Amino acid sequence: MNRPERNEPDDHPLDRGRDSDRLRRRDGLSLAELLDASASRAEAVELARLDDLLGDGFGGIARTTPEPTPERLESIIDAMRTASNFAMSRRLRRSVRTLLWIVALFLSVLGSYAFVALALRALDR
Amino acid sequence: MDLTTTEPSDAELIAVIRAGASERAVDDGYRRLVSRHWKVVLVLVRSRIGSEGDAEDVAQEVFLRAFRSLGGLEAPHLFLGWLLRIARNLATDHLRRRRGETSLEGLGKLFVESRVVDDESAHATHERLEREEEVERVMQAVDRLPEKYRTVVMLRYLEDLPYRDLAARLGEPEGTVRNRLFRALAKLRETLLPARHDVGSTTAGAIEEGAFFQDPVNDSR
Repeated sequence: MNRPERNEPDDHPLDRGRDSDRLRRRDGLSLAELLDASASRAEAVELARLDDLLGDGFGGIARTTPEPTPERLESIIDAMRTASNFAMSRRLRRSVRTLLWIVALFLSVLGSYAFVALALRALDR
Repeated sequence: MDLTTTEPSDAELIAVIRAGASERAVDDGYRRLVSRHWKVVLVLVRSRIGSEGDAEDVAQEVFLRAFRSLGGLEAPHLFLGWLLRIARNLATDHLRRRRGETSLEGLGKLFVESRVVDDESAHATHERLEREEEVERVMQAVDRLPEKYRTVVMLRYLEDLPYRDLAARLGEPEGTVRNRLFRALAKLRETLLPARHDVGSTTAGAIEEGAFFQDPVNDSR
């Protein structure tokens, strides 16, 4: 991340070409936009200074916040693979169980039918 | 979908993961989502639980929790906001378990720690120290912003994103994001101006003298 050089504390953010350039480069709060959106030039100046201070604050935090290590990335992906495999095997188990229930139901209906048929035949005799 | 030629949006990556066409594509989707949002998630977690080693573990758990629930995410283009909500909840839970309390460390403390790590303050001038104190107050004020403003400020300045990318990440129109950021700055300005300060009488000269964003209680200047 290319951070601009830090301002001196007594700099006037809107009167310095370097800061205006910086704001434009970041596609951010340009001088014209700030002046347009603010009630006064003084407010625009304050907002530009805030923009600068926030850039410093978060810039410092960003510099000391590590990117994810390859090990961390692999750990997350492995965990998701395991979760995915577990979910798949659970889905598979559920399907097999459902199938077994259907077969059992079919067999019991068939058995009942056969029993009734045999009973009726016995009665006919 | 070919993920190698262009930078896909969060929603596109989520679609690839949900489709599960190939293990490689799914892994790549996860990898890109983590790489893209890791920093902002980690900063949010660290701002709540501190910078100790377990912050990264909590951040990892945030991603795992989110990925496991991707099937139920109704608006994939709002993934980041959803992810940050999970991060806040998990960080709060972690803090409760660890300390039995919910006090937050805050961005101000995180900034102070970053100065220590940077070791920039070792030879700091008086002006520089004053400026750093000012930055710290601003960061503390960011912590007190409503969530939607805090999120846009964090993304804007932490990632140094232009509006177009910021809008894409938040899944909202560029104009909305631009307005929200401006409102966030206006709210920060209101918070930071000393209570006694009359906004109507603000002058650029006063700003040049560094009269703004001072602590209204501990104003030692």
